[in-house]
Amino acid sequence: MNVSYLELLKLAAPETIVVLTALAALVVDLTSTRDLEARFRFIINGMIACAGCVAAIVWMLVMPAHANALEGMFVVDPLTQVVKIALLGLTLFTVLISMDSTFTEHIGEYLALILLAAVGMMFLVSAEDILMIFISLELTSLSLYILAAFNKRDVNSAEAALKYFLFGGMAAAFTLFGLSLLYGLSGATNLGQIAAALEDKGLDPLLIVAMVMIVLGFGFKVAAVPFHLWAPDAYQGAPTPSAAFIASGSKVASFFIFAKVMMIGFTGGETNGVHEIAGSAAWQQFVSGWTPVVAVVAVLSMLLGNLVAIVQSSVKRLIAYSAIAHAGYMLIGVMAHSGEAVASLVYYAVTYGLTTIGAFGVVAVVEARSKDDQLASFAGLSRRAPVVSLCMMIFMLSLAGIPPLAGFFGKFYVFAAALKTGAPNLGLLWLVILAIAMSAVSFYYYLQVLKQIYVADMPAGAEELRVPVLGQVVLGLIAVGVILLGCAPNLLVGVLQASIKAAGL
Amino acid sequence: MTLPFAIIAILTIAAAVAAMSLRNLVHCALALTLAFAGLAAAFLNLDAQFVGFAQILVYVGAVAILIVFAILLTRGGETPEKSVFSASWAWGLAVAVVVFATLAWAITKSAVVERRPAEQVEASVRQIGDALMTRFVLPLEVIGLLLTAALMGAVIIAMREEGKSK
Amino acid sequence: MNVGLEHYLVVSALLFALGLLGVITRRNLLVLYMSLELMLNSANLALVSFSRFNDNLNGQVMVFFIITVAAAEVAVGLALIVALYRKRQTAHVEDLTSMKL
Repeated sequence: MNVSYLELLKLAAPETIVVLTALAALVVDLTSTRDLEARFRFIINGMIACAGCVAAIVWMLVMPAHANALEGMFVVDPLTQVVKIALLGLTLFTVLISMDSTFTEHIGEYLALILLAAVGMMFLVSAEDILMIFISLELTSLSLYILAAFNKRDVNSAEAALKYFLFGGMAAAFTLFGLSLLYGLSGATNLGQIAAALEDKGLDPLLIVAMVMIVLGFGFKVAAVPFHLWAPDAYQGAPTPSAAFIASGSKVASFFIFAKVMMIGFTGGETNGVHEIAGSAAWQQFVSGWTPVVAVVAVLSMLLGNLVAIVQSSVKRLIAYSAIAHAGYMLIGVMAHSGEAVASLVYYAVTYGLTTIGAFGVVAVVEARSKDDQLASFAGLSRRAPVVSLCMMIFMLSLAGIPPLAGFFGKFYVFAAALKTGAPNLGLLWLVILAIAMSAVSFYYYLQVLKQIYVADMPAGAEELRVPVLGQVVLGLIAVGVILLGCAPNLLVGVLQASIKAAGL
Repeated sequence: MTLPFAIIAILTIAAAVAAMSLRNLVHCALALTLAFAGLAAAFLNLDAQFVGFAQILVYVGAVAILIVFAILLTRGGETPEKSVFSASWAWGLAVAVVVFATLAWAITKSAVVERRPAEQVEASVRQIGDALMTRFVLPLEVIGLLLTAALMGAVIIAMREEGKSK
Repeated sequence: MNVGLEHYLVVSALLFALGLLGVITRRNLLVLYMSLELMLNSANLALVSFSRFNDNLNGQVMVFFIITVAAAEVAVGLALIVALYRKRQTAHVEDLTSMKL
């Protein structure tokens, strides 16, 4: 096989730009800004990181590409480009909300690791080969474990990272064993070739095992029940910007690749309108396959996530349990496995990621002044920091799914896609009804946060919170983004649908 | 090739059982090293010279030593007085047995086991090298990034923070 | 009796289950960690035997990569354990309870 390295470099230019930026931030921090005050170091190197992200985004906008390099190792099409741009946007906001933080002296390394994790996610999005999927998943996960442990003054950070690492290692072992069985059954590593090799073989027992193991592994990555145990601890113990990145970027990339693996690798032949390997989770007509497995995981996530979130007193843990619930809603989109479902899933994941980064940004602001993230610390925030409170209200309402915010349309599109897949007999209706009922429950705890902010009395002696201008601008930008994507969802959905058509998924 | 396989399999599994059940951490690490070596022998038995030797170099050489270092750093060398198993061991045993039973059932029922090996596979180091530089060149690059990130992070995490310097 | 693919796969499955057993039941973080390595290795054995019986090299190349990934994971994992030990003077799972599950 002839490989043109130059062609490859051109295709992977956005990734290359981000890698070079990571190295640049590292070198600049180690050589020239070492002796400056931490705040300036963060701003200078953060700006370098942001510039790199913007450069990569611009490159992708200016140089559209459509290619499949090295038999699926690296697939570039309009859809992956859109997802990568969204990921870089989330990375950018993560860098911006971390500029105000003081938890580490190793600023260059911190930013470099965030960028390397982003590169891992970008490769993951482009991968259609099980080896590439595993390696980029590991690049992302390892960087995130380290980011979670970055606060060396706080023992909780080390503990959170260790828990995240142990659960993650086990999930990686499961995924790997499943992937190796998949290779064994098909003799190929490319998803398309695997699907072709499995096409007319029916459901081999080992294939079922492989499927279950892969679903387990991805279930961990997206923090779905019963593999969610790491999430509340990791979100609470990790430095807030790291937690924001774990909750947003990693989730978008994982959901995208999860849907891709399931759609390309596991469709199988069709009999009576039901994909043989996918099976069916329609009410009273279950057909064994991977969708019923995912359905069970989705139901458990929605129930447990929402119900446990109600009793949380720490805002970060509350967001973590609500993240588990959101993973449940998004899994419904994975189950629908159609082109339209992928568009809705990406829209949901991206808007959710954006909102979560915003919410973590507000938590970081409060945490920096009151030293903890308990609900009580938010009491009377509306009078101490009106702009930040307004942003938090937008984020919470969007997470709860109130129109016209982005969260509402995310849910709407995912549920609509699921209903369309189950047509004509609305097979997935039971899941959608459950999801809507559970979103109603989620109102309660999101309103709890808002009640603390707007209704509860200020603690005695509390004064106005000084929020840096930059922080306010960033949070405001995120809030505007959430409103804009909600009021004009077609901005993103239209692009996604067009690119899915162009990608031929 | 029945006898070599039987010896390797029994040795590897016995070593793995020992690594999971011994009380003293150093003994566990040594048993695990033996299991790694057994796996390397299994790879060689499967005509996979390259990965067999890579397994010996990386696992038996580097990983085992790192683990022993970590044991020494955390003073885990002494045998614990309390039980080494957590309270939920019965539950864990049940899960492991179920997982193994399912896997074994799936393996014996699967159509894959009908396959016979090709007569002579030439898995030379040259072929693997060629593959690494052509089809697998991108994963090779990503592995480079992964090692960079991992080592940078490991140094930061394990480094002693010298007070509040600077 | 000839040694077939199923024999290698059963050994690999047994190693996987043993690793899982260790992860769930052992109390020491380092042993937990070793059990994880065993699970990864069992996948390697499956890959190499599939590679031999599928008559293509991809499996072996994958194993090469996985060995590298595992080495990187060792570095990070052991660093985390050492860092936690510095703070807590412990390497036991039950002591990881400052945050409730």
